[in-house]
Amino acid sequence: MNKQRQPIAASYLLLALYCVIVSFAPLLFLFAAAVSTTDPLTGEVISYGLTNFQEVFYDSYYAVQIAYTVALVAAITAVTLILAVPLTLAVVKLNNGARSAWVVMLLASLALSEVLTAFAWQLLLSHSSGIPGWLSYAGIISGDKSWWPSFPAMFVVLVYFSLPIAMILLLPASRRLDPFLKESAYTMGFSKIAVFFLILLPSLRGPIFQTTMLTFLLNIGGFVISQQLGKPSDWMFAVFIADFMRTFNIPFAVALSFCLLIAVLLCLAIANLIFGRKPVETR
Amino acid sequence: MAFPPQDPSIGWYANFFSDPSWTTSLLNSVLIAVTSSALATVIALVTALLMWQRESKLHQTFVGAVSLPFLLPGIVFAVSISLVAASLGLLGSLVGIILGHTALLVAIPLVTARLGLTQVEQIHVEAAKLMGYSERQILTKLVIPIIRPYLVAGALFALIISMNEYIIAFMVSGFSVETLPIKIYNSQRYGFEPTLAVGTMVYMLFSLVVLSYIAATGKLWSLLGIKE
Repeated sequence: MNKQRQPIAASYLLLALYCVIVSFAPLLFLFAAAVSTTDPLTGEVISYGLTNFQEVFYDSYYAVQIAYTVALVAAITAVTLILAVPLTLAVVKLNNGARSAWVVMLLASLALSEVLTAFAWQLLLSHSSGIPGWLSYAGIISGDKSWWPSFPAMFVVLVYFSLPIAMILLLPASRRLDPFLKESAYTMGFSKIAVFFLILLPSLRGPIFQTTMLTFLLNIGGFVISQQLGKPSDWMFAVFIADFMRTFNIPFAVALSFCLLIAVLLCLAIANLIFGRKPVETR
Repeated sequence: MAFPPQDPSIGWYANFFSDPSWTTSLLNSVLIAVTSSALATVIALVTALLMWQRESKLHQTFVGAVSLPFLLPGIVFAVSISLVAASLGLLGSLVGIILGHTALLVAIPLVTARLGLTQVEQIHVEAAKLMGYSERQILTKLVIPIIRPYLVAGALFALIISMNEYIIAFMVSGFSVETLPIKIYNSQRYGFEPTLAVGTMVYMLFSLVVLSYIAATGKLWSLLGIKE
């Protein structure tokens, strides 16, 4: 072998090994653990079978929880996108300095952990130090109740958490939009609303679809915000997985993870079938 | 806590930096973030260079496989990497968390490195070859200097995300290692004290400083795929 090619071949080999360890092995282990039954004392595998899945689907509880989580995350994604598209277009219109400041702020909140976001919102929504306390102090509202845990609090914070991600993903495509397209539409007598719905939205169809998928994926795997700001009845599916991991019921937690993964893949496949196709061009 | 605030002071900041449980968590987070972002950047660089100007299905599969952990639902990847860590005897260790974070983060410097490689003009590569540069020299004297700012930015993004990451750290730590997000989460759940607000402020300031630095280098827009 050529001496110069040897490091390249070695790099391919190492990369393949890395992919096996971090990408394929985790999924393989997930599947193996989901179909195994272990001794609760020693942790050793006793047998392989579908016992864990039979327990998951013993009644409809977890199926309903998965459906609830998918519906909740779909609603969060929809609200996020409804807010993100006009906000991104507004940020794109700003001058360079203001736009940079916005992007830094967006990236900073995007990078912020779920834990920190949940904590900051708990403070903001608590009676002792947050908005209810300020309003009560100003005499606008009465009572001494915090606004969390509640479904609205959880929903708002999950949208807040997703918004910077959606905006950052939409930003490049929004920036690349041809300004003449809009100008021509205005010249032809289109209203601002018509331009938004008939020109801008169709032009951003691809990026909006990709952003929707990523926002959905990001939210469906999170549990901290829903556990910290929602009531137990509002919790998302990942909370159950985390709790079973905490209590060392690992095969069951893994089976739940596997079910969540299948549900997510199904949702993405359906969304791709319905919305992922390019529109048929007409003359 | 009360509103309006009473007796404002920096006492909680002093408390944060003098309490070993908080400083150890912060140091653990920094150590994990620095190591995993450096490893992720090296792996991303190797992947990006191997995939550069090669568009075969095999190469696309490599990019997909390296990025897969980032695209899986967070809890699913966290559970599955904890199983791998357990089988490797890394559960409850810093190395286990570093492995999980590295796997998660490679996708970020990979995106920025590939963006950087689009800036390397083929004509410059040809000129270097005509001047008798070896492949290694082209790599070290032409390609790496051009993509360096993109790699640095990717590494910094990865660093921030690793510092903030909770789910993988929680699953792999096995209650024996505490990163700052784990410490903050536990403090929230098992007894609230305002010191944890200091931890949050430290993180927010850190993220703002790093991102402002990236913005100041002028690469922020091209990193987001925007030509100014």
